[in-house]
Amino acid sequence: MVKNAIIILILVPLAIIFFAPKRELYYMLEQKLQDSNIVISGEEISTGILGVDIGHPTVYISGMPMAKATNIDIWSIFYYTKMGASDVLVAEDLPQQVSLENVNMSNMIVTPFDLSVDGVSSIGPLNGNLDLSNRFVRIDIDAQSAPKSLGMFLKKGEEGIYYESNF
Amino acid sequence: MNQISSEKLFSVATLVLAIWLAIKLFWVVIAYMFLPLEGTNIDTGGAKSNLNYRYKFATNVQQIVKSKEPVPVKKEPKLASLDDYKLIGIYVDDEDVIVTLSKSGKSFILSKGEEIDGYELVGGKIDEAYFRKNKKKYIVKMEKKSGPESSKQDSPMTHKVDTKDIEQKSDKKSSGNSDNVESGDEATTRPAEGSGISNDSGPKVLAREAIDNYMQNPTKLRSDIGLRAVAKDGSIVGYKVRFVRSSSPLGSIGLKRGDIIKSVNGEDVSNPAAAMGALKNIKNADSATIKIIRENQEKELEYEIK
Repeated sequence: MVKNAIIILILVPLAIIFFAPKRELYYMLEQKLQDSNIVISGEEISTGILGVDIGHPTVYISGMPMAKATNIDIWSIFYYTKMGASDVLVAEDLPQQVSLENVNMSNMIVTPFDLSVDGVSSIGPLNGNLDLSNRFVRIDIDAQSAPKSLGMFLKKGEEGIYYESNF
Repeated sequence: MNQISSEKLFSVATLVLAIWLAIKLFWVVIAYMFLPLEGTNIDTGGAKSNLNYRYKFATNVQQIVKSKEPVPVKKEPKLASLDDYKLIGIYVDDEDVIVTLSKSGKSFILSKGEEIDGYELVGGKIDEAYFRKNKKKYIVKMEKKSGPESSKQDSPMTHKVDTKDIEQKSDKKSSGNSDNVESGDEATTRPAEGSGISNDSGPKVLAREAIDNYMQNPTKLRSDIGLRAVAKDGSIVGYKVRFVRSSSPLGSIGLKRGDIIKSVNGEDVSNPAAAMGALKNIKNADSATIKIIRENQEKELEYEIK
């Protein structure tokens, strides 16, 4: 009996992850983002065992193209979910472009409303977190100055510059 | 023992398969009932094109009617047209009308009453000729040349002559163009530069090109030489030279005022049509002889056409 229980505890989460309709779940994520005027468009979607791989997406915020990425990889092992993006070009129409070599957002099931962010940008290394419950985001950048084009979005702190906003 | 273990293994496998099957079924139901089947995209106005509807919504189907056999159309014989002819010269007096027409580089001289392609010349005035065919009247107008040279010219070769007064007028001095012409004195006449007619001590030479120019532009001929018909007993016996423009190609051919041209290459110029015909014959000949009466004496002027 115990043996069966252990089998069930192990197999059910694996089966849930393995058989999950990942493409449709990604579409649902897109719809949720669209409610916040964020649209991921022009992407090529391929599904894997644990997640989806999105190629060459463009992120629009309020209809404006704000970021392009070479690849976004989303995967989940039920207890832990991670989204990683590589070669992200932020606001390419700006005179001084900001690029991200990579940026990762992760979420653990023990803190379902907290997403941690870390990555490497052209300005400097960054890390921060998104508080979904309070709809608050703060990202610290290890740099002393920000490009003029992003100056109105970034603030200067004791240990560098940071971005802070409610959404 | 083996049977017991086999039963346990079978039950575990069944459990695993049942769980997997249940979860798969669960996700299928969730996906088709609650999850979107399409993502969101922003239309960037790429290579998409509007749908093209080609439906025909007409409901009334027309009956197919057998078409009647086509009625053969009788082809009417093609009538010759005067559109191809150009009026390049016209002579009008009280009794006669003479026109020069050109078609495909050939010129035709008609007098009143003569026909060409069934069109009878019935009249004319300054710059147009009237033809009649099948009781219908046709008008051929002279083309007006543009440019400063044409503006200087008078109306086309329209030479109105009152034959009754010819003898009386012949003694009067020429007027009108007299300001622009030389007296025609052979001794004082200078050859025109580039005129095409030489006045060396040798035989006089007429350029064929100059004759062609006069055939194509009779108005120019009229402005370079003034002629007046000389009548005797009601018939024209010749044309008296009133003036010769010295700067023209005719200024050096030996004619002078008062000469009466009797014949050209043996052909009497008893009417304007004959005069124009003589000019046309000169163009195609290698030499020309003009018989004139000067000071009551007949003379012959010989020319070489080149």
